[in-house]
Amino acid sequence: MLTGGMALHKPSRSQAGKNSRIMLLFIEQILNGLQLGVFLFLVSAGLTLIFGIMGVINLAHGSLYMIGAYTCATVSMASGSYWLGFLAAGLAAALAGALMEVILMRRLYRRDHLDQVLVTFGLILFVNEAVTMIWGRTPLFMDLPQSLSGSVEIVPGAPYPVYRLGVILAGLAGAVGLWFLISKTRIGMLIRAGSTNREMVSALGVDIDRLYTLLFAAGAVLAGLAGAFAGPLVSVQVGMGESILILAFVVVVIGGIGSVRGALVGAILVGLVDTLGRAFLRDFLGLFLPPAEAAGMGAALSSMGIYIVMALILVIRPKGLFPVVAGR
Amino acid sequence: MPDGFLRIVTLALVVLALFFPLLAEAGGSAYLVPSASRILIYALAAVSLNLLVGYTGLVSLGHAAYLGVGAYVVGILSFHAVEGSTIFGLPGTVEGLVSIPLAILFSALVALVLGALCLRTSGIYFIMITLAFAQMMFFITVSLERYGGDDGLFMYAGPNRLGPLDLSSEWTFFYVCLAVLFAFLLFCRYLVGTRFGRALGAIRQNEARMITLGCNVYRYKLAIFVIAGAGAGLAGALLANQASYVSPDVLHWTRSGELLFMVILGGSGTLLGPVFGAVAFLLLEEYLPVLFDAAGLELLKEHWRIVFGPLLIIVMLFNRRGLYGLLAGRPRQ
Amino acid sequence: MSADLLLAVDGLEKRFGALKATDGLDLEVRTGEIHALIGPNGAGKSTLMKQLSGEMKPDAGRILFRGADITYATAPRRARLGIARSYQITSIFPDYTVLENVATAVQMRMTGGAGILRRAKGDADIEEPALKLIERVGLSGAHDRLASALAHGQQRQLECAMALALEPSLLLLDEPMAGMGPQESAIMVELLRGLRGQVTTLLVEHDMDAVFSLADRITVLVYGKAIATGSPDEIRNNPAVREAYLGEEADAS
Repeated sequence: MLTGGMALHKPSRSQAGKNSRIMLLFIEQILNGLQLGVFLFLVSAGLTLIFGIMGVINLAHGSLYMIGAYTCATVSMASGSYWLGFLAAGLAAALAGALMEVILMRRLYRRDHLDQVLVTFGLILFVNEAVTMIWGRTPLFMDLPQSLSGSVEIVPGAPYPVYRLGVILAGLAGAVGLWFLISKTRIGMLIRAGSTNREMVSALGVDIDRLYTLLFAAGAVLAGLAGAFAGPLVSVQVGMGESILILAFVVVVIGGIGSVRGALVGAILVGLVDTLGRAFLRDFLGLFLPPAEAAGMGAALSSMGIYIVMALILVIRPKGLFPVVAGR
Repeated sequence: MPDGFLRIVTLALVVLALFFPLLAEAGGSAYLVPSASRILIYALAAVSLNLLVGYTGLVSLGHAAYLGVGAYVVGILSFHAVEGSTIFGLPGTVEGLVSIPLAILFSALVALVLGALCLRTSGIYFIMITLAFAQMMFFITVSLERYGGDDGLFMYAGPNRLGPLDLSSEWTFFYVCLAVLFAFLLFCRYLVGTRFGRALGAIRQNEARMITLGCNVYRYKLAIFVIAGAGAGLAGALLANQASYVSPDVLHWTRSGELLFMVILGGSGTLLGPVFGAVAFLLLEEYLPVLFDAAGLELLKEHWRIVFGPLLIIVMLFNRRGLYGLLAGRPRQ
Repeated sequence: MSADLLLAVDGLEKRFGALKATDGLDLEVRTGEIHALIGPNGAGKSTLMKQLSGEMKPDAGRILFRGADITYATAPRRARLGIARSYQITSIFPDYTVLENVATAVQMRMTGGAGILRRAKGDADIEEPALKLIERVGLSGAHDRLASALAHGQQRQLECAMALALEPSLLLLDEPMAGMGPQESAIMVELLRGLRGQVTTLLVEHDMDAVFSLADRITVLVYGKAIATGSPDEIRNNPAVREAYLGEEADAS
């Protein structure tokens, strides 16, 4: 998983000290959960918009995340500047996304979902192999940017890495920006109109093809930047895109296809449930069960956690938390 | 029975399959027999997926989950038999007549639970949610520390016995797989010909109309979802016996994608299409690197997927009816 | 409620945002009659049909079928109760033959536990009634053709056969003559005339000649409200109707 937070605290003898230690661990895990949520949001936002507006399911969206991570790692290691790598990741993902749209996705808008699934599945095989040819099979590990490598105390006694905190804030800023773009700007209006009435928008003299390419590239940038953010926190390797893609699917199903707000809520929910489940479920079960069984069940249950949440939400609301009503 | 060129190809394949071990041995390539068994097993899984995709119009991107459940049931029972321990109070077994039906039963049960949830949705949601739940099953198998977790589970007792038959014999195993595939194909042919099957086809073509005709489409879809899951479970049980090894890899999501590819590549909604698809897909996977090697293309030999991926894309973009359609010629008027 | 009342709609409402597609609508359909529903475009005819068949849930009001409240019954439930509908846009199974289409509908009426695993092709229990229906709607001879290969008018006839296959006590027909040539329309009018007295029919149709020659009673819908109900003569002479609807139609044609 993306969270790898370590909790190193001096052992304390008093009960009060133990309680506060658990409290601090809890806060730390919540932050880790938020951070996973932010990654998921950045990947899911593009995915859900593309679903909602173009009606296309793109399995290769995770590949854009991977391309972002690899580009960021390579450029920042070569140049010594994380931010240059970050910029390059956005550019590379945008370029890859635009190419993907122009060469392939465009042919799929009118096809059924099955064709879309299979073509983008073939695309994943291609991209993964291309990345292997360029970077090899050994995972890349990149350093934290110098300026963000310290940690801050959010609450006294609970140091938290500045970089992770920065990722959370940047992701939330991205969410606000995206909301503004879609609900307050002319482009957003066109996007919303285009999703329900393609003919009308093109009658207004807007080049729908270009709008779609741009939109696809924008979704790609979000995924690519998420990859760049993740670069210093995870090992950059082939296949990293698919594991986040499937989590993003869970997010989109929970949130409702086409809803950016749903993607945000779903992403945070999935991030928190997954992280907290992994961190605490085992200890929690340990209260009732012998340690060996608690460990075994804890591992199984915590890996199921988000899917159980998804199933529950689906039982109550089959179209997700924020279903997008098709205009008609 | 199909006619024309297709009939010739089908008959040739059947004859080839019947005498394959003999021919392979005579040609000094007896090592090919286990690979051929593997192809038959995947063909079985693809045929079961076709019940959903081709006949009912349900695009499941999580079919490998049921393959995995079937494989793990056989693996876990064998593990307990070797260890001499119990599971749910029952001893393990290496008797296929027990473990294989249990594998079918369990995958049907899992399909019942997951299908009941997945089928509340449709379209894109259904694709994503079947994939997500299959991923859940994948992670569950990874977390099964006792049964090897990530590393998988070796069946130290080797393949099951099947009554009087010993599945560790490559020939026996091959013919068992062939017989099972043949029986399953007959079963599918019967099933799609029934009123139930006709209703499924109607649901694929026009679900809204079926609802206003008074059809409880949810129940029909759930029934076929369970049947397809059971079929995949049977394939999984054979797969475990083929390798004497089970790992989360069987449930990896790419496996679901590959099964879907086999169905479409061969021709969805046709009885034999998925069999052709599985044969073509697995042969391509196996021999593309060999081909590049023979052509002296070292780089492509190692990275054959860089050709394989685009090849699949091109097939999907330009050949809508699959190999079966290609061989059958014009569609019915 | 009188005995010959089959369907009663009481204060039905359906809103889409600010638009009231159905606005406090009352309607009564008597057993055995052909009841036509007319009104200008946007009067809410299709929305009403969808609420009657169960594809759309109303926001308020009640729908009574044989005196039982079915306002929130699902579409399959209503089909089993005896309400069948045909569609404005042809809704058939394109990859099936005419016979397979109708046999599927017959089979849905007979939906039973054991029969479901019987071989469908050549099954006399479903094919004989299906062939009779095919003949009844005037498609005999075409039963082996793929539904997608039929002419538009024939597809509408097929639709009718499928709706009738459910042996409905109420048939909802949504513009059965839409997109038909004069010859095809004439066949359909004859077909519907043949149903009078056997199947109660609620008919939405734009072809006024057909409506006035077929209907026992007509209800006029304007902006989601029923402004008049009566025999064809009463409707023809109703001043409010002439103003709201017929006049406008006369101008247009």
